[in-house]
Amino acid sequence: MHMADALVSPTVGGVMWGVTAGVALWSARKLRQRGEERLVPLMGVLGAFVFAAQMINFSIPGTGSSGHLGGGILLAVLLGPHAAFIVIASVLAVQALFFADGGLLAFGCNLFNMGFLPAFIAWPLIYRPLAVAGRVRLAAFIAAVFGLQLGALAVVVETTLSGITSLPFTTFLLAMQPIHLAIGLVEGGVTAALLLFIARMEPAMLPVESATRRFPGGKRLFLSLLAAALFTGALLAWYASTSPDGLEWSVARVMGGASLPETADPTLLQRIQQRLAFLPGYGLPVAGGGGRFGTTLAGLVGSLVTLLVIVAIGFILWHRRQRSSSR
Amino acid sequence: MTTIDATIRDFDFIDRLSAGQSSLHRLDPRAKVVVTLLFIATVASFDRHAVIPLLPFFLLPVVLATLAGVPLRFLLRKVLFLLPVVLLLVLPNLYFDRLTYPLVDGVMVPGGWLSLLSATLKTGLTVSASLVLVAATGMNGISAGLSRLGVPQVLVVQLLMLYRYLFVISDLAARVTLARELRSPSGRGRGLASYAPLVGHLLIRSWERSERIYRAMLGRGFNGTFPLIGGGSLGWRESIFVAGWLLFLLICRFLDLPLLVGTVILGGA
Repeated sequence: MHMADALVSPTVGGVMWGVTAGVALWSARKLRQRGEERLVPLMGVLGAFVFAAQMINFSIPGTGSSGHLGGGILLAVLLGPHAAFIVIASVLAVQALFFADGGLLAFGCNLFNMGFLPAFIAWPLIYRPLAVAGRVRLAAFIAAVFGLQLGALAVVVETTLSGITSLPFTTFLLAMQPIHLAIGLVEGGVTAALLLFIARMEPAMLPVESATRRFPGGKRLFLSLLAAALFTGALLAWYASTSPDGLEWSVARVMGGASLPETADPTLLQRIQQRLAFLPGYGLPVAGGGGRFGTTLAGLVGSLVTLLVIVAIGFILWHRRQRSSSR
Repeated sequence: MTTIDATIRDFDFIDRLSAGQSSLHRLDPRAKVVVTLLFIATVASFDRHAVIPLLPFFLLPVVLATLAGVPLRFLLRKVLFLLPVVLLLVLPNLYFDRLTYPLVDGVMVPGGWLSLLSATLKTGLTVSASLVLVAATGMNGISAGLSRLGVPQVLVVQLLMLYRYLFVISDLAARVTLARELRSPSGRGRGLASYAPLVGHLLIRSWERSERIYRAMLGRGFNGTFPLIGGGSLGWRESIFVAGWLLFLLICRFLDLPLLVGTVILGGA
């Protein structure tokens, strides 16, 4: 799953480098603020552990193949997301430098897929809420599956945007996702098994999760909902029904045929709308709408713009309330 | 020999190569890192059908490997090992990319085959360049270079610690795995039931090891910072190195050298 340099264009590689470098700098600063020096040898040793453990296989009964630990979720559980991200970065760096497993240009992509997604998306949004509620095994499974599905999607997007492969986006996706579902289940199983083993043998290693069932409110809830919204807009939108909705159906019944006729002389508002719409029909402004990629892009852009507008309105209202209350 | 043994052997081999004293070794790591990254970016910037223009780029890995004493056979073995993974993703192009493009003037080849050749060449170039970088610089050098380039201390220290303990933990893992191999006749006993306690114990022992390491570090005056050795200084040699290779990259990127050379040899057209 490590992407090679030959598959990445400098633009994609450079952008992902920038993104992950930013996350790395931020994580480093967080760790420095926490000031725990004992983390230093621990991170080093756990990095070495993950590296070594990735070379130990176990046979999967009934398939004739073997699996091994990836380690992203496990590291996030044991060390927290910031330290885990740094450790994964170091492991990937050694793999890229000494084994050419993952290219140097593609390093940012690999770090994003295998570091950022498990540590900052799967762990806080999936693992933690479930683990706090006591469902560690389920938490590990779902977090691993989710993290790997996102990772596989990211690989497909990055490779397709780089333009090296002529595989159509959907074909690529349909090939990658099922495989990574299986890998995710394996990873979840292994992570769960290890966590349960440690809980039994050396519970002091695990972070103290609060024993009370907390409903994850505030920022975490917001992020979980945001993730769900983006997922819906980006992927579930593909399955949106093309049948007419209630209003369109009623109009069609009344008009005795298809949709409203396009007027040859659009009004001013219609002309403005045609000009402004940069994702017409929920797709790219090209013939065919850019297929599913266009829909995904439209879904993501729409969700984000909606979010921004709502946040902006909320901010303005809050600001006005602040000013009126301070008089 | 298990996978772990083979991995450690390769690791050790590069580690020993990096202790060399060639002129390339003695250059400041920053210069080497910058040139390697620029090289990889330039190679990757060719579109997926570029084949002939990529050929001159092989000069860099060949020259640097020879200077640093890296056996070309080693590089070839590594490239061949990694090629299947890349080709797996490019193989479908044979089906999807059937339009023909000129390989050279007059020789039309389907795009899929061109992209296969191109990906192979690019892999060969990028992999050998990065391996030569490490073999000529070493982990200490790269870490020191990264630190001078502004990478945060946490990351650099993590790289060094990881490198240091890789040998220790891999050794542990190799012994434990061998023990399991010897106790699992004809493949039985290698499932998840034996894996979890095995790797779990490895994890616990690693954790306890780190506690002892931390106490040892405290006992030797560790205060959170790490003094780094292995860095150099930027002098005229580094400037010539970077400027020279940069020029080479620009020429090879924007001029089709093989075409020029061929035209000159055949008497101009």
